[in-house]
Amino acid sequence: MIFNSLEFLLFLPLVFATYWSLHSHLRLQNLLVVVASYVFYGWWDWRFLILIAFTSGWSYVVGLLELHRWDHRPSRLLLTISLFVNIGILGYFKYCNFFLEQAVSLLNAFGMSPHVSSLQVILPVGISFYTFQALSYTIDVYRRQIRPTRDPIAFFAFISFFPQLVAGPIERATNLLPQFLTRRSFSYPDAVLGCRQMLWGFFKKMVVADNCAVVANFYLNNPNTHNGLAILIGVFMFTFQIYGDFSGYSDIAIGCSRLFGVRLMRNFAFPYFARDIAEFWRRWHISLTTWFRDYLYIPLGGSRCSTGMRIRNTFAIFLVSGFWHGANWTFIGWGALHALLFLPLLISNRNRRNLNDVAAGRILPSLSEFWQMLQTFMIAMAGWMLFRAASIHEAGRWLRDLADWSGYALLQGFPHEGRVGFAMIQLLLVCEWINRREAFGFARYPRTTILRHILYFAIVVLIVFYAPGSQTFIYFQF
Amino acid sequence: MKRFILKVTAFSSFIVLVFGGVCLLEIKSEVKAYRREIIAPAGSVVLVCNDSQTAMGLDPEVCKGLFNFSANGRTLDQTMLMLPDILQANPNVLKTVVIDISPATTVVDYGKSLSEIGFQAKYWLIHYLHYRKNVRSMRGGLKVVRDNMVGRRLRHFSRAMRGKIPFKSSLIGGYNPHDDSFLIENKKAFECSVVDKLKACTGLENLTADNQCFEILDSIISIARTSGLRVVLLTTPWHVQLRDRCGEKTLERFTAVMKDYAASRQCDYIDFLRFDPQDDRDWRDANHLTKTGAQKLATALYLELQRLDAL
Repeated sequence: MIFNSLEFLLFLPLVFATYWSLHSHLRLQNLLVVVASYVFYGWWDWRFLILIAFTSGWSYVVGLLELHRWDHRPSRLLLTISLFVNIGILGYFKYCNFFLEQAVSLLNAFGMSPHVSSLQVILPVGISFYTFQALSYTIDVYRRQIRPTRDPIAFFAFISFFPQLVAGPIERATNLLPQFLTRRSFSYPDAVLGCRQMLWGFFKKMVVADNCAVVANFYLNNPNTHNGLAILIGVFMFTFQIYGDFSGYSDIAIGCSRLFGVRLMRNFAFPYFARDIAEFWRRWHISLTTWFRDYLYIPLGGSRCSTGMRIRNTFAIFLVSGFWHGANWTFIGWGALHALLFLPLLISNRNRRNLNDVAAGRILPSLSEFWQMLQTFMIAMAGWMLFRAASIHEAGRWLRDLADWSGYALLQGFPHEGRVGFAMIQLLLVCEWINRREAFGFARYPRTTILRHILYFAIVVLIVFYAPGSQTFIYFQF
Repeated sequence: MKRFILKVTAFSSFIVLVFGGVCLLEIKSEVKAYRREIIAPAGSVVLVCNDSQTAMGLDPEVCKGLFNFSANGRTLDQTMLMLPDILQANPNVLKTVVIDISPATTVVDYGKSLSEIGFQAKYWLIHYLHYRKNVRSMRGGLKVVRDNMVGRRLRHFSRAMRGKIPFKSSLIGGYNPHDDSFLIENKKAFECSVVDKLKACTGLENLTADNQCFEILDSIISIARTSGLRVVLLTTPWHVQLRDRCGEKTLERFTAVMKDYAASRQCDYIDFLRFDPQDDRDWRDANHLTKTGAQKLATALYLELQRLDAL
C-alpha cells in the first residue's frame, strides 16, 4: 500500500479509530499495530510478509538468548550469527545478481564463458530499512544499551510499524521500542502537528517530486535529446524529485506516527541549505547516516585514530552507504564521490564548522553563506547525476554532453509539468527557508484560524490539481 | 480526541463540499457539451464509440462516413451507456456500429490513486445524472463506478479541466490525433507503454466466453440491433513488440475467442490486431497510432467496410 492511494485513505482512519479505542489495552494496541502493518506491507505482495516475519522473529530470539546471559559478557558469537543471517538475507535478495554478474564479467575478462543465469528474485519493498532496524536492535542489545524485550508483540510492532516500514526513517531500538512498551496517550497538539506534517509531505511528494519526475524522466530517459541543457534541467529536476520524494515520505511517516502517539526521529533537516558537504550529510537521510556512524564508523575507530585510518573509515562508510542504495556501480561511484569531497574537510578538521543555523538571526543569508549553499547544492546535484544514471557509461555520456556547449539549443516540447515543477520548487524553498529552524517546512503556521485553514485548503487544492499522477516513491527500490 | 476528530471531519467535509460544488458546475457544462457533440455530422453512416485506440487511430476524413465518437479511457460499459443517447439523437442517419474489442478494451484493469478520487466521484455523478435512465438502480451506478476505476481516463479529464488538452478529447468524444511517436523519440517511454499494457491486460491468457466483457457486448449489440443498426466487431492494432511480449499463442487464443463470439452473435469481425502500417512514425506507443497511422488504419477499415457492404 502506498500513502497516496485510496486504500490508505480508508486504511488510516480505520486503524486510527480502532487504535485509540484500545488505548487502555497496551498489548491489544500493539497487536493492532502489527496486524495493520502486515496488511499495509502485504498489500504489495503477501510473500513479503514471510521475510519480515522471519527477520523479526529471528532478531527477537537473538535478543531473548542474550537476555538469558544478561549478567555475563555479551556473546560475540550470537551477534556474529545474527549479523550474518540478517545481512545474508539482505545480500541474497538485493545483491546476489550483482555479484553474479561481476563474477561472470571477471571470468569473461580471463577468456572464460561460464553459463550462469541470473536468479529470479523479487526485491522485497523496504528490505534495507527494516533489516537495518533489526540489526540496530541486535547490536544495541550486544552493547547493553537496551535490555532485550520479552514481549514479542511489542517487538514485532517495533520492526513492522507501518508508517516507517518501507522507506524509513530507520529507527533505533533505543528510541522506538520503549514507545511500544509503554502506554501511549492521545495528544491533540501532536495529532494536529502530525496532520500538518502529513499534508506537507503529500505536497512535497505529489506536487513537487512527481512534477519534477515527469520532467527528469522526459529528458534523462530520452537518448535523442542529449544536449547539455536537457541534461542539466533533467538533473536539476531529479535533485528536487529525490528530495521531495524521500523527505516527503519521511514527513508523511513522521506525521502519521504522531497520530498514534509515536515519535520518530527526524530524517531531513533542509539539506539543500547546507553550507558544505559535511553539513549536507548531517542534514540528508539522517537516520541512515547516523546508523552508519554508530554501527560502522565508530567501531572502525571513527576519527580517533591516525589520518590513514580516518581516510579508510570515511571511505568505508560512504562506499557502504552508496552500496546500500543499490547493486550498481553508479551508487558505489556516488558514495566514492562524496567520500572524496568529504575527506578534505575531515582531514583539515573543518567538517564541524557549520553547526549553527544558516542565516542565524537574519532573514536572508549573507552573500558568503549564499555562495556556500549554492556550491554545496551544485556538488550534491553532480552526485545525483551519478545516482540517477543507469550505468557509469551513461553518467559519463551525460557529463560529456554537459561539457558540450554547442548542444545548448532551445528546448522544444518543454513539458507542462516542468513549469509547475519550477513554480513548486520555488514555493518549497521559500516555505522551507522560513521554517529552517523548525522540524519541517510547514511547522510554522498563521495563528489566525481562518488564515490557517485557508492555507491548508490551498495546499489541498495544489495537491488535487497539480499532482500529475502516481509516480512510485524512489526509495521503495531500496 | 473528540475535538481532533470533529475538526478533521469538518475540514474534510468542507473540502468535499467545495470540490463537489465545482464538480456539479462542471457536470452541467459537460452535459450541455455532450448534447451538442453526440449529433453525427451530415453524411455519417458508421459510428465508432470506443476508447483511445479508436479515438486516436481512426481518421474520419479518410474513412468517409465515419462518426468517430471515441474518447480516451472510455470503457465498454460506458459505450453501452452512451449508445442509446447517440442513436436517439441520430435516428435515421447511422447504419453501422463498429465496436473495438481489442485486448486493451475487453480485458483491462487500471489502478486508482488518491488524487483521482474527486474525479471518480464526479465521473460517477455524470453517469448517474445524465444516464440515470440506463442505470436502473444505485447498485447499477455503483457497479459502473467500481468497474470504471480507470486512472488514466480521469487524469485526462483533470487535464482537460485545467485546459491542458481539448475538453472534447477527454470525456465527450471525437477524433484525437497525435503527432509524436514514442517509438522514434522516446524508446524508454515506448518500452514503458509495452510493460503498462501487459500489466493492465490481466487475465488475457484466461479469457473465456463467460468473461464480463461479453455480457456488456451483448447489451451493446442488442441496443444497436433494436435501432436497426448492423454491428461490426473490430480489433485494433498492437505493435509487434507488444504482440511478441504478450505471446503469439495468447493472442491466437484471444482472436479465436473473439471470432467465435462474433460468429455466435452473427456479427462481422475485422481483425486488425496484426495490422502493420510499416513505418515507426505511425506508432505513438505500443497500441496507439499517430496521425499518419490513423489515416492508414482508417483507409484499411474503409476498404473492409466496403467489402462487407456496411457503408
